[in-house]
Amino acid sequence: MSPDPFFDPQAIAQWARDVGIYGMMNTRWGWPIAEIVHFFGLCLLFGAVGMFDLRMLGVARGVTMRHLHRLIPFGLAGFALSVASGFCFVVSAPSQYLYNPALQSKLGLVGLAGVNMVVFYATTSRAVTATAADALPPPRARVFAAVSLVCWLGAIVCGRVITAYRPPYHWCFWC
Amino acid sequence: MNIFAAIEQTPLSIWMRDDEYAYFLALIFHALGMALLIGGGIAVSLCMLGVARGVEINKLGGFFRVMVVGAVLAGLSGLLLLAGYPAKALTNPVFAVKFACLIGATLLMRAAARRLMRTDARGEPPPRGGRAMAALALLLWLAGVAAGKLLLHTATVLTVT
Repeated sequence: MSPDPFFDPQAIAQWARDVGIYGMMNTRWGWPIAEIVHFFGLCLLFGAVGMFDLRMLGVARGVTMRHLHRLIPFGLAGFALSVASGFCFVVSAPSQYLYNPALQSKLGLVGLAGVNMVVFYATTSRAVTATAADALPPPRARVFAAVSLVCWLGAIVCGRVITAYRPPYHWCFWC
Repeated sequence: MNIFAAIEQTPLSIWMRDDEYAYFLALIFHALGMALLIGGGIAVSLCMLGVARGVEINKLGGFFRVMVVGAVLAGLSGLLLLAGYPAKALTNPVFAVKFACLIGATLLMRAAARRLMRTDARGEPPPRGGRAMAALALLLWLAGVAAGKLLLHTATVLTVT
């Protein structure tokens, strides 16, 4: 029985073995290929969503946001690639990842970016896509863009730090 | 190998290896720089391929500046990482592949942007060559990402001293 009320790392690892993810990840090139897919997904996500955020903040004025928004499906595809590869990392070494404060922070930032996106589409996206090519969108749109950029760049930073925080040799204020 | 040994003995190299935070901070800035450079590169390449119909190629200059910021950040932090473990990178052929891909992508994108901006300014349809160059640039950005991620898994030497 796991002392963790939410997760049972041993059961997760066993499940990963049973379905073949663990075996696939532990082949010679399994882990490196998953890393490539993960960062490729992040680049696609940042290339689409990050550049749209930067445009909302005033970079590349003259680019119509309605047209630039056509890149967003590529960002979603990138996000899907990152989630799929990230899932493979976590279930293949759950005790290394689940209690890692860098991963917990990264997931928190991704969650915040998701909430920010939902609220943006519910309240502000129409005003943004109606903005003229050379104009700045409404101030609240720029707040959404800044929050999104900080969350995604923060997620990249936390992802990079995951290897520095391998349990049990770590410290964080909630650990 | 003597040159690697000499670099490894410099105070900067020793500091990069021994300090608790230096190497990780350089890694963080390298990842942020690469995200800006390659993220911007992917966005501009996709626009030049016509994926975001309606985007005027002439107006993408702002994203090029984002890429330059990313390149400077990635370049400076990359130099620090290289100073810490010169033999690790410079004895690995994948490091040369990474560089070749990123430089090739940058040059191709510049050439494609010039072609497409010219026709865009004249109101003509985009030339075929320009789009093919943009597609190749996109592939090279992705190959650069792959090579960068493979560095850790293909290095055979860490230090020579």
